[in-house]
Amino acid sequence: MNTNDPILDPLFAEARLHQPFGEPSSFGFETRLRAALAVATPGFTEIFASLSWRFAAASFPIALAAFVFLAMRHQHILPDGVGGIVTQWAGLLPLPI
Amino acid sequence: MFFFDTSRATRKVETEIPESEWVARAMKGDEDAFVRLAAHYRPRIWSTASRFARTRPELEDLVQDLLVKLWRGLGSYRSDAPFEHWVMTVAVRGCYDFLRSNRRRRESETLVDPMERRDDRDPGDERARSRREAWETVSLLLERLEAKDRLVITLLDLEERGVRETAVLTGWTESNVKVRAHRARKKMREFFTELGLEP
Repeated sequence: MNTNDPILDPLFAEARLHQPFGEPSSFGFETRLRAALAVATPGFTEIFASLSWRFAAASFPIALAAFVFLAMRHQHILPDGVGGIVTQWAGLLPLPI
Repeated sequence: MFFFDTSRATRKVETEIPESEWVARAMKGDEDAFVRLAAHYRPRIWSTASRFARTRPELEDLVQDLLVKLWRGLGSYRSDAPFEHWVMTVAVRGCYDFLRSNRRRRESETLVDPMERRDDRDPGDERARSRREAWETVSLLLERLEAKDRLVITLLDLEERGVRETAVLTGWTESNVKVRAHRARKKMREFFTELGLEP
């Protein structure tokens, strides 16, 4: 892109002709790539980590709505504070609490 | 006993298969098809990525990571656009992620150009030396830019991609690309003066 810049344009023109690291070597390329692909199947944590903050922002109200729905369905009343949540949901656990 | 070389015959048939077929095979999980595509696009990815890496081993790792990203992301490719566009979009965005994640470490390192020694062996090659020195100066200025600025200058001024293409590759608007490029060049000129460099 020519911007008629007397300092940068000549620099860019010369610099773009320079390949800093030369050409790629094909030696061992396929072996390395196949080894990398063999372990490239993403696990649950990687998939979860790759989710963007937009996804998190979009899923939060859905998760909240699901929580409220389940709470109303099981207890017919919304829990009151953290203590209320623990008390209500502890009753659903198959544990002798 | 075979009366002809079957591998040669297979190779001949494979070269006649269009790229779209290789892509379709790779998308179905055919690793051989993907390796073939990777070998084809690797020089282009290498060329772009070489503007962001500081050493050859770092560049090799970056290119490898980009190829793995392509393999993982094949499911997101839509065949209504050329495969090359998709490949370069993933590569450019991968380079941007690389720049962002390595910025802190890069600030404490010095630039090493492996071509320096190679060029110095041939003092008669003034042209090559001039290009290398220009690249070193540009690198010095680029190192001081934010990742987004560096990316936009690299694509527009070093790779000579248009504003529209840069916008597509980065996912930014055309006006954003223009404004960012304008500001980045201004910063580069300021750094140029600050460092006491001569045109």
